[in-house]
Amino acid sequence: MPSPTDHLPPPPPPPSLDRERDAELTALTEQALRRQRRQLAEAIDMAFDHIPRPLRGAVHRALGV
Amino acid sequence: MSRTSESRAETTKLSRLLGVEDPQELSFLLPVPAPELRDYREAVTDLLYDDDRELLKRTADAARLLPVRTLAAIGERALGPLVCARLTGLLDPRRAAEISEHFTVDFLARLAAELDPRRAVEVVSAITTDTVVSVSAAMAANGEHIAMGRFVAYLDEAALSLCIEALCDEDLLRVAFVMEGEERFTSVFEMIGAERAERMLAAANVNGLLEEAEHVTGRLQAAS
Repeated sequence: MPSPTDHLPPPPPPPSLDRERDAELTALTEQALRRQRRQLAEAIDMAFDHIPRPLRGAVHRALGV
Repeated sequence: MSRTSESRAETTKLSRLLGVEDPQELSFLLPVPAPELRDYREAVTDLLYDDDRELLKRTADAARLLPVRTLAAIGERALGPLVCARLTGLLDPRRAAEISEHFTVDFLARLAAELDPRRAVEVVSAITTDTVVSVSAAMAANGEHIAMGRFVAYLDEAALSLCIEALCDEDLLRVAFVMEGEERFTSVFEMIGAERAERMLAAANVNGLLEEAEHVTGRLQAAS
């Protein structure tokens, strides 16, 4: 599974953005990031159902999961 | 071309990237200069591509163990367009292009909408012209004009010209509003031709695309 170091922080907001809006933009970016991480984890789980059985072990090992 | 319309074009692109359904939600960004919004959008694009990078790399490595047809089935039925887009640039470009031949046009259109073409230039170049035209029509039907605007710089002239022919005036204007790269912008309008461009811009009022038309007119004037 992904290591915490694989997870990156959102970039700093645009310098001209009002300070009180910084948090709002960063929250939307974090939300997009969390959605993508969830989709990736779910997609990899689902993918195993479609891998021919004799190859599953090798794919498991290559993925390190 | 006003500063506000430039910022609105950038805000529209950012809302697509963040999955914000109503770009109005980001209207607080309109006073921010467009170059700052562009930098932020590019940083978020990099973030979304580089996050979970090791897992994505291992997934791309594991893909080598499977036949192309199986990979296409897994991509379409399990991984979905977003994960496939993240994986595209990590696969061998020829193999990625081979896999894409087994995807449906509808799936390719949804994958392309999530893809940063800068990270998959060789794959995009390897897609056949017929497929590019079909995918562009499907993307337009899905309302993915922002993503289409990203691809313009990476298509050869023949494919681009056929896409322009296939798209309606309204779709072209929507793509032109968010199209990146001034040089390509000018050459696209040379392909469109003066007559069609005038008709397209004149109809903008009817289609509720006045701001888009003003923005595009401003860019054309600045380029001439």
